[in-house]
Amino acid sequence: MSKRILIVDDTMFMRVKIRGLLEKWGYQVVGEGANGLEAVAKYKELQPDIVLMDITMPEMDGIAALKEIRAFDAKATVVMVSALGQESFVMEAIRSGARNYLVKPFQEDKFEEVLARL
Amino acid sequence: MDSNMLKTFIDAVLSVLPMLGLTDIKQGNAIEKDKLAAAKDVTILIGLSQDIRGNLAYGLSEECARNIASIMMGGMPVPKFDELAQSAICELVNMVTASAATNLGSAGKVVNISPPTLVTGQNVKVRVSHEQILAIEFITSAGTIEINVGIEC
Repeated sequence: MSKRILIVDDTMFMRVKIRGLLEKWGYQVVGEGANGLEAVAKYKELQPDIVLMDITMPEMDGIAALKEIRAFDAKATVVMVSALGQESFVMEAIRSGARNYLVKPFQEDKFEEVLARL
Repeated sequence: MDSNMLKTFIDAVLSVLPMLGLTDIKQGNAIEKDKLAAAKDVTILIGLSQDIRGNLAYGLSEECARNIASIMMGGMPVPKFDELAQSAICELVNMVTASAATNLGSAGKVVNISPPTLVTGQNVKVRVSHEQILAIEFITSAGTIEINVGIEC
């Protein structure tokens, strides 16, 4: 059975782009969120296998949402997908429980490879 | 603004735009302006915080914005500057600014960015900084993008 994925990004363009790639690769997109608050609520509701999470978002950022999701489910698989590539953000995400960190704009084959390893 | 910081923003534009499919990118004029930037058809505002504080205003014509959105969507026609096209332009601004922030971060500074805000309409002026700002033009295959940079520290 294909893995169930929740996409969280504040820009509609990225949600549409990522959804298109995931569906092409055979994953099931179970939901979308536009900020960290929606990410936490939809994680609890949908219990996806993987969350793809942006960092810079209104209401609640992706790092705060990652921490809340991991506090709810210590086994949650969250991959950060952010334009911010600074070491301090990457390290904070990994320390907070992110399984991987992709910097936008990403190469599609690299993205597919990261997902296949989860 | 010191020349290294200026180069960081220029390098970010020249490295990120080709990854999004834009071609023939050339740096145009860079001029100092008053703290107010006149808005183009489409203006996107984004803030920097933590070790470096300031604001950037990206300005472009609606035709250029639609051309860029079309390129970012794999050549899909974009006859209207709708919500999807607007979000594509916001994402471009997010990626370019984050790339500059990353490069500044590698110099030992922690720089965060705000979510972009998009404004349409020419009858507005945008206060980018309390001080003078630098406006840099980039000419691309999709049209001209002006970036107004106001750094306050």
